[in-house]
Amino acid sequence: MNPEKVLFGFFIVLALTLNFGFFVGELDNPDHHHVYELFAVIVVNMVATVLKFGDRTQMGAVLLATSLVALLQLFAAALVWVVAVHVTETGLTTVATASIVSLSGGAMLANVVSVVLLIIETVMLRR
Amino acid sequence: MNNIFFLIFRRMRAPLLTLILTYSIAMLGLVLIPGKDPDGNVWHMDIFHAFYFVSFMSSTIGFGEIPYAFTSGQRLWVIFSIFFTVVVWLYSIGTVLALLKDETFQNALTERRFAKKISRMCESFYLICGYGQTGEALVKALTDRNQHAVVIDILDDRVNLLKLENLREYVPGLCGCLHIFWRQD
Repeated sequence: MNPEKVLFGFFIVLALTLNFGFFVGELDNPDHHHVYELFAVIVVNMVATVLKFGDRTQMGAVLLATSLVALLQLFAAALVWVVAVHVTETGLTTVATASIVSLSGGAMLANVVSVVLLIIETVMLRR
Repeated sequence: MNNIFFLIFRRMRAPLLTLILTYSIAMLGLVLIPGKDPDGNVWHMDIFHAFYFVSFMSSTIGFGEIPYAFTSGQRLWVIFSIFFTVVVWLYSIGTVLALLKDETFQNALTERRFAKKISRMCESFYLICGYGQTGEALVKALTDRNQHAVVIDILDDRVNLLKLENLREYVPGLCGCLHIFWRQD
């Protein structure tokens, strides 16, 4: 058992599950999407990305790429949230909520790809 | 890619992870601990302001207690956060900067840049090994006849001299030992 793989597997799956938790619910209803969950998703995704720094393998490079995509989408979602709530002070309108949640949905897709790649790697290890 | 790049990135993991974790713990504390606005109503700091506050607190810039004066509970948490985030900030940023200044890493970067320059030349060139008196004269003679040359020398000073020289063609130079080139075939 490689503790590095356990740690990465834990964080990438946690990122996916948390992201799913934030994503489910009506797309444009701000009551269904709590900002703490978005915060947790961003932190866990950042940890997962940093854990793939300096991985020489092909799979490691692809996993780093998918994590970076997820992070980019989540930063965009957080930026939309900050602009909607604090900068323009319009609050979480249906438009703002919809774009935040759909951006996090894109990040979730990247997380799904990461997890699928992880599973493929695990299955390939068995000879 | 050279091994050193992977090693440097791998060694960045620990400082970056500590930075992310301490920041998120400090932010979470600020968000959860209730504050009071000037009218005495209970008020919770939001994540955006918590991030702003932690960012300037840990880098010791310190703009003060925003947007309202803190309650004692918040101040207690900030006392703890100051000590752990400032230490972690110094450690993480210091380590990452030290890694970027690492001599092997910088040499690898220079080598890569040099290799790129040469592959972009697209023309045949003479490889001058050693830029002493003979090498200098040879490079001058070659470039005067519109030939390309590339210089390798073991001494950094001599390669720097090449940059001062007024030559007709661009001559890239690298400080290095020649066995690295022989090893590649």
